[in-house]
Amino acid sequence: MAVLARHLGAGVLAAVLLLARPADAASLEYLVKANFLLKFVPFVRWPGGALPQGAPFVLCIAGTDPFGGTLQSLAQGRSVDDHPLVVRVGTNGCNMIFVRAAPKAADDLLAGTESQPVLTVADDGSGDRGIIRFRLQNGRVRFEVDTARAARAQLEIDSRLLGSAVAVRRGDRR
Amino acid sequence: MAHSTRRNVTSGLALVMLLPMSPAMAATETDLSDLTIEQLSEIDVTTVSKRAESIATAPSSVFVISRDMIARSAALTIPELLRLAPNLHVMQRNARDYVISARGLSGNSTAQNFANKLLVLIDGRSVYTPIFSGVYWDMQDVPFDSIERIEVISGPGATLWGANAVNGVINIITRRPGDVDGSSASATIGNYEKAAALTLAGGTDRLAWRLYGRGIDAREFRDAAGAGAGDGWRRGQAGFRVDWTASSRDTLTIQGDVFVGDLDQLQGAKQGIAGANLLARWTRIAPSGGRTEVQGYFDHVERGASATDLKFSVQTWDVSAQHNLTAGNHELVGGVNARTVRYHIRGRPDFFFVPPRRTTLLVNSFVQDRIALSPRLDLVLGVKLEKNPWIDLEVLPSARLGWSISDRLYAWAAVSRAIRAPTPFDRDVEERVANIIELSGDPDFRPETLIAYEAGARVDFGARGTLSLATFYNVYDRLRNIERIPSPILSLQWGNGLEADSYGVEAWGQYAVAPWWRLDAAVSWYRREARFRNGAATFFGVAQLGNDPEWRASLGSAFDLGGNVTLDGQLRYVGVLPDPRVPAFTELNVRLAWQPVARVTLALAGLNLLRASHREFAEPALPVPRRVEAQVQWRF
Repeated sequence: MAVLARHLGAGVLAAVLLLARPADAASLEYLVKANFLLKFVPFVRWPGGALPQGAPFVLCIAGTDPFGGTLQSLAQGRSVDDHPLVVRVGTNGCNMIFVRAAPKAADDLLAGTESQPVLTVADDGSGDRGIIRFRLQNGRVRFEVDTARAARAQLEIDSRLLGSAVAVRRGDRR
Repeated sequence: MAHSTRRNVTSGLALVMLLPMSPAMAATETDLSDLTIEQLSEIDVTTVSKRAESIATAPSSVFVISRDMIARSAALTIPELLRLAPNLHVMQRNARDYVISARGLSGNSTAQNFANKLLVLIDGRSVYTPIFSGVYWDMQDVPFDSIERIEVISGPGATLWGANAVNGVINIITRRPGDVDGSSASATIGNYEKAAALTLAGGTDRLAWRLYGRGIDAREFRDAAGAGAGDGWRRGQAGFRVDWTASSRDTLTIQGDVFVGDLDQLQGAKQGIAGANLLARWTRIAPSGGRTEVQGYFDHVERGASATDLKFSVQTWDVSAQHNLTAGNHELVGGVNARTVRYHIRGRPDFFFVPPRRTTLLVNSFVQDRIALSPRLDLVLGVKLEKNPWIDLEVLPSARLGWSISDRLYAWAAVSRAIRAPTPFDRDVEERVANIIELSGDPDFRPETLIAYEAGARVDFGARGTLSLATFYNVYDRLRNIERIPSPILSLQWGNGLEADSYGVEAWGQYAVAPWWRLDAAVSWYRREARFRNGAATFFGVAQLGNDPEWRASLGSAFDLGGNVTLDGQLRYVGVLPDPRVPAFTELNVRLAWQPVARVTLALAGLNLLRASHREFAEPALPVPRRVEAQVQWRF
């Protein structure tokens, strides 16, 4: 909350509400998506060596950052199974990557992580290499899960998360 | 004159929708982080309500055509896209011409009465023509994949948008260009229409751009006897939008479009259509929370036949500024707008304007205050003052009350005033029919007025469904009729001799049967009682106000079939049009789409599948044929 207020200017939320433009609508979309990202984590099991004792859990933003500080503020003070949660920009040393870019660029960004134990989440329209891919449907944020890609990354995805997905893909479609 | 202001530039609906919200509704990250994944998936992120509950809280009748609906539609033109809004009645008259109305008054072409009570804006630029009032639908296009949403408000919106927002407002709002939209190309081929579109997009967070080009080529319809109607047409349009985030507080948008097309005629030379516009908008969000916006645009359109026939050109310069601020339990928005319209109408001996050219200046100013009477009760009071050379200072007030009865139930009521402003067609026109009848504009023609009483409710049936209901009672006065003036030949003149009351109910709902299957349904009922004012001439009767059905209904289904296949269908029923009588009909649009790979979509669509043809409006409107089309879209 504090970060959002700082980002937009104090008290601006009221103004945004008063006369929102598409860009503001987008910020609600990313507020929701930021929350999704953190909700995904408990449903995913990383292989033993991926998270050494004491190491932070690194959530990376690749491509453009649509969150405007929201993700960092949400992550503040949180941890994943005793690993402090850190939000970073880039694609190196990540346990989880959110990518938002043009399809080809997004695919290139994720190319190096294919067989690494990294949970990749691609934004709506950001290519098809994400293990989880956001989809905007009927004004709602939904997601699909690619279990074949998850298996290649040695990630186990809880069936409850698969149950919430709008689609579960079992193969590389390309 | 068309004096909509550009409230919508800054997204009109958002304004209408959000004014009534109570401060308590502003959500924070913390609110959302308490939600489950399922609850997160049910937040409508396109409404700007920023609260976890998805119920919309606007004290007016609003339907939003979302990006998803547009992506799944078979429409190739804006009017076909507008069929998705249940609070609009879209009637196709021929291959390129549509009559679109909200809450009736669709007009009568024989009586030269037009559907002119609906204001239409594209990114804050009014496309309502100041020449005759109404919209030339064949001159409007937008790259569909760049549309953020289309807000369709039924009921008056004059306090925010100004004159001519009488029975409704349509706001077409395009997305900020950005990397995520990416580039795309599509081609469609059908038995009546061929279309192609290309969008290129790129840039960075700070500077994002989009370029597009589109073209459509439509074959002529056939008349009831099976002869070609000569109404084929084609149009090409290109445009761009650049958004520059100059600082964390300032955004500059520059956008523009050009189009050119031609319209076949049954006899004689083709009519040409062309236009160009350029718009700049600057937005600043102050640290105090105030928001200031300044916008200017230039728009040129022309339409007409060869060197000697009817032709008009219109140039519009429009500047406006508005500011929002919050103080205590008041949320204020106010603004000023000035618009100069210069037009030239080249007439012909039997149809001309005196004078043929004018330059007019319109100015207006508005203020609206949302007062949170209690956390659940909001009062919205607003007024617009508008002046142009043809109207005295018009006062366009409204009062709206919104009540969040519970988290699931929202009710609202409103009373407002709106006008349809005089145009050159009302004031200056001269028509000669076979040298024995003449019809002239009335130099004293006054605005047509409406006082509207509305009430409505929205129900949120948990995460899965919503239901919206609106009722209205409209009292119109000084509607246009034809008066007789004393003279040896039959001399006629426009007058303000009609009045009418109309009332009705519009309801629609959506229900997600499963994550992969959504249904929607709508029904509307409409009645009108019209009469001539004392002493008025009664040519064409009261039916000339519009040939509007008492009942309309629709049922839609959206399937995600798996295997990247989607199947969408919309069934629509339109009751009998009373006078002249047009039979009721039921028609069906279906679209089947398949994504063999993530970046490619193949689609097959059929429009009006149930019959070879059906009639949507009285003659001279043509029967509307069944259409089928195939489309391929590639994103890169």
